[in-house]
Amino acid sequence: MKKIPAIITLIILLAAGGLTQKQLKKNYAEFGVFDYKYTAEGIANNYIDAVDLLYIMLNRPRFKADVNWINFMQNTDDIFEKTKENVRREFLLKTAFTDPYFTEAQLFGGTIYAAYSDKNIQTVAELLKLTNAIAPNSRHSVQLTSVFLLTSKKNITVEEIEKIENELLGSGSSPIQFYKLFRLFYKKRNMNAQLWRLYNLILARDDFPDDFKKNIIEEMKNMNRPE
Amino acid sequence: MNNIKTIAWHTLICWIRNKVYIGFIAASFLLIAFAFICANITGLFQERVFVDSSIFFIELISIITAVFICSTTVIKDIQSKEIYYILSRPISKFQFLTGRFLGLTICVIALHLLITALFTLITSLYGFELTQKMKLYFFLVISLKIILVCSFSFVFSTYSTSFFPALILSFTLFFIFEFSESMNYWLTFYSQTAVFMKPVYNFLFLIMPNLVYYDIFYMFDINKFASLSSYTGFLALYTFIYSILFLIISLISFNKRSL
Repeated sequence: MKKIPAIITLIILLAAGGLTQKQLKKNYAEFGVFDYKYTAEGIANNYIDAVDLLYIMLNRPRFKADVNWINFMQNTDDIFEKTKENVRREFLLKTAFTDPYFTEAQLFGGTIYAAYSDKNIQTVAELLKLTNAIAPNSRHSVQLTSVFLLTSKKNITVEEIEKIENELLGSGSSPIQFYKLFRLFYKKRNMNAQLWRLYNLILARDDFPDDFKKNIIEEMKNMNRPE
Repeated sequence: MNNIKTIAWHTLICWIRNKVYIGFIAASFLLIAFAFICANITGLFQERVFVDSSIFFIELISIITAVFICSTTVIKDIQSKEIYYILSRPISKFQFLTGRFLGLTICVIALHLLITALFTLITSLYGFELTQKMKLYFFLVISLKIILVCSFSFVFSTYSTSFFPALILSFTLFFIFEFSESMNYWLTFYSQTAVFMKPVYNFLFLIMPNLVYYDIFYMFDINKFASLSSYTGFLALYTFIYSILFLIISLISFNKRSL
């Protein structure tokens, strides 16, 4: 192949490639643009490490966020294991900041974490800030706000609790994590009437695991039935 | 044209019988099974975890296969002296390279088709919410990426004299093209970068092939895509332009080589 025609052909192809890329960028923007500013925030706060950053830069944030989520769920097996609290917090924040658009994980992870950790407030507040930045006023954002208020507001009134319970459990098909959160909340505050009502709601659900329901029945046997 | 078809067919048959290729097929099946296990232990978001992991593993195996076989094939031909036998026939270097490239690309896309079929079967059996259209577009978009990866890996096969440098250079170029979008963001976003360098970076990233456009299924929720057909069309044109560019570079490099 002769030199000058080859070079001219290559230059033409590069120019054509550049022009096509400009059009492709416009089409790509219709799907949404991954915002690296949340990655920068995650790095600044030491929530994500070099491996997470590598996957983000390789355009695979969803995959790495799923891996972080699996690690988080593995560490919630023994929910009363205090030594794993930091590990749970670490993996939850890694999941959130690796894929900031994984708002469902922020909601359910935040709920699990709020239920089973003592030092929960700041972590849930961080997740709430992120969820509100990505999807303000969304269902997830409203529900996570409810979880945050339930676990952080010291002088929460019974009316506010009932409102939050309606928000999180009102659909009748809410996930088990919300019921577990309320169970621990009512137990800590010795709210027996509300606890009894919650247990009846749990037993009415066909899709909950049998061993969980057996534990509930055992607890109900040891409780004084409220009037 | 017949020479190109013959060489492509011969390349395809040789690689399909190769133990390394069969090893890649076995590895891909194991990885899909692993993705399925991960999805089952995750508790919540089983569908998301399975789909994201499978997409990642399918692409990983396809790209590794593409880089491995494309960056080593011509070197293998030279080392085994098979190339002298082929070029002694009335076959031009252009026909030889084009035939080899086509055969290799079809080989990798066949592997990709096999794994995607398995993925499609599992998603259908378990009732995951992925439409057939989504699966088709996923297959098409990754096939286009495979063609581009094959083309630049092939350049190093015609240029290098041994396997290891060709593999390393191919993977390095792959990572540079994958990183390009995020690197462009970090380089142009931070104020530490000199102001006069920003247009330079923008220009470089504009003319460089950018693999982020093929990564839509890894970045965003696959079910949210409404219109993919025009995007895939532009992507096909983009792939075609850069593949031809790399093939021309391969031809120039191969012509300069003393055989």
